[in-house]
Amino acid sequence: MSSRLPLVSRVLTALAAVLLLGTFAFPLWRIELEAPQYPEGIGMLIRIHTVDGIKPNDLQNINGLNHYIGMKAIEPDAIPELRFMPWIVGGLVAAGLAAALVGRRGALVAWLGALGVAGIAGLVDFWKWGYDYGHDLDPHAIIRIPDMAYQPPLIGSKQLLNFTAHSWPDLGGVLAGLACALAVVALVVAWRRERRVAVATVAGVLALAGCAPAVPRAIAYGREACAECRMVAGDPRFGAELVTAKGKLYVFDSIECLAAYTLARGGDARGRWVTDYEHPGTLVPVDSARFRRLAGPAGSPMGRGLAATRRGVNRAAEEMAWSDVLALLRDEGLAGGASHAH
Amino acid sequence: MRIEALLLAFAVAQPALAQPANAQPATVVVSPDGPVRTIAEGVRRAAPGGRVLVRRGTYREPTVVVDRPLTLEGEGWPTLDGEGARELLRVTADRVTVRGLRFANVGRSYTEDRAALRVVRASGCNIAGNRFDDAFYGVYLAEVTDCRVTGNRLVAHATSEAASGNGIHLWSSRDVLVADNDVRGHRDGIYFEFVRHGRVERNVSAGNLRYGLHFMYSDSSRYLANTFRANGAGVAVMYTRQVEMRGNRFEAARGASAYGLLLKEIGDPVLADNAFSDNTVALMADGATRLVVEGNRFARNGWAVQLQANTQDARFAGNDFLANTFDVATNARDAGATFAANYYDGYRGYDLDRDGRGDVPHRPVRLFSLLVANHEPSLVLLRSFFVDLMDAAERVIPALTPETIADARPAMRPHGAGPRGALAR
Repeated sequence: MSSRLPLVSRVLTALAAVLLLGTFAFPLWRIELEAPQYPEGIGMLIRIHTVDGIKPNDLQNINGLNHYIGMKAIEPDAIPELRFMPWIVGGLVAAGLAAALVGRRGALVAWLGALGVAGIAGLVDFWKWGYDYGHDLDPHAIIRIPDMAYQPPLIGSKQLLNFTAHSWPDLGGVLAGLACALAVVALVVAWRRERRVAVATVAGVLALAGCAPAVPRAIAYGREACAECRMVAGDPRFGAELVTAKGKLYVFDSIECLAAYTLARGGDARGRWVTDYEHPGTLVPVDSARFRRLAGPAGSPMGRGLAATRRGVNRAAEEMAWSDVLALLRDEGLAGGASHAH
Repeated sequence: MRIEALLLAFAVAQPALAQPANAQPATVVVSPDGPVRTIAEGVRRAAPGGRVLVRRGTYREPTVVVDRPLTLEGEGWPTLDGEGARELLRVTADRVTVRGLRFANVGRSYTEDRAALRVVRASGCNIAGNRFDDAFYGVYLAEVTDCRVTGNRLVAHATSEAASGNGIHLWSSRDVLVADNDVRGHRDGIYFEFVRHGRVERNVSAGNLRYGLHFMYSDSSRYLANTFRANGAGVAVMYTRQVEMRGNRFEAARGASAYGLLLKEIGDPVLADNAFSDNTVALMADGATRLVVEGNRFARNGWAVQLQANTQDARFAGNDFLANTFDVATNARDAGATFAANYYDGYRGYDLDRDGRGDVPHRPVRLFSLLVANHEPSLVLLRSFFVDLMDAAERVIPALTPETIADARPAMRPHGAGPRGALAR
């Protein structure tokens, strides 16, 4: 099943494709040679369509040196890959943008696959050329050292006679790597989204079937912030919870905040719970709770002194039902508590 | 009413003034080895308006109730020890001064807000220079007027919020001064609920589990030159009108729901000359109306300012934004906020006419912060090359960041904003 990609993934995919374009402007790889007789060093840059020296005459100098050990001259024109590589990368860029446009997960996976194959093939090819140059030596060379190979490293540094060869990706290569990473991130984001949607869907179906009652969970007092007032919930006598119709759970530090949230967002929820004041940490559904207002300063976190207990057989006169609490908050509002003091 | 109270005060003071030669007997001395061995006994013997001097020693006795105007003064830090089981001192009379006492071992209670020192329905109390060690609630004032709480030191070692109380707790009170106190390790350091005309000055509230300062429904109060440092969730100011906060330091509030200063449903707040440093979010404005933020220093915060869409008519002027990861973030395309002449270290403009103000506008909301606001996990890309690229592109051709949040002529140099002069310490 190929599902739609979230916008974030599509933007990331497009960005990855655009980053690949950087390989046209910047070198993919850089090989530098260090030796006492070249205090400034010499080196070459492998670009998407050619190989050239870091400084104007570097490539000739390297070929001159290589001549002593019998290595073939590096002739960009003789490397056919350099002719069609721009087309491959160009195609990948176009395909990436297309995948972003199409916005299906399948397209992204396919593109990521192509990207990976192209990247690995490129590296293998690079290594093969390096091997070929380093091992296929002219037996009549001026300097011959039995069993000595001059293959430059793929990545890293290596001592070759009195030269130290460094081989590292250059900006173009880094951009290509970054593009791959972004594409992976895009896929991960999409996958996580989908899983969440899947969980919600399953939960929703189960809820419709009536066999998955929403359940509250313990509130992490001291760590979780109230969804209404942003305060960190701190008093386990007053915490409350709500699970929305879609299954998202919200934590509140007080009954007041649960009521205010309910009034502001409508009554659509799978369940609401308040803490039994006499049994801190125990959540009971609002419909099976009785509410009253505590007198004096031993108040609730939001100052209205609302506390809940489990509904008993006898109902005291001053006790309220959940609907009364909503009416109270509708009249006063959360901020209305300021009028309470004097 | 007020005049009557004054007359009453005068009448009570009369006998003491009338007999100057006998002024000394007005002092009752309590000491572990003297004729008066308990503080309760000392209070009972003291005449209204008299003085009870408590000598060095440890006093273990039932809750002492001060029911007449007097001065209760300690010498050599006498200790009231609650043995983990009870409240220590309860003041129910007007004009009571408590000075130089050490309160220890109040003990926790899950059913009552047990306090070391509680003042109930009284006026003119003066709680000065006392020490509170591991109190549940420290100083608890309920329905008091014209009280002063100054120079006290409250140190607790609370480990869970549910098992701790507030350091200085005020409920339903008026005209109260809380100054020069040092509060550490409680649930909320200083807590105001239904307080009018409070002044909170030069206190240090640090390392409390939840908030350094927390107040709700407390209109027309001023907060000057306090330091709030490394409190679990910072400072929260909620459901209040006319708050003035000046010259305070909000430091090191770190965590997912921690704010240097959280404003929630606040009308006409003024924040001036404060320093916000090293917070996850320095200033969060959620439902603040006509917010004025002037001359503050925001340094090294994750987010210097977060504006929620329901914040109306905010004005930021003459502030310094220094080395914050994000200067301003908002979840609204059209946040009704004005920014004028602030200094931003991220400003890339120029000042050709050399008037000290940049010639091109600065948009303090980075594109990336919008992305993070909508999709939090993307925060992992922070400081990546590609995000810098994105921000640079947005700077050149603004397309997504709020048009309305722009500082037309930002300052070219920092203002040196923050606490200063008499307010700086």
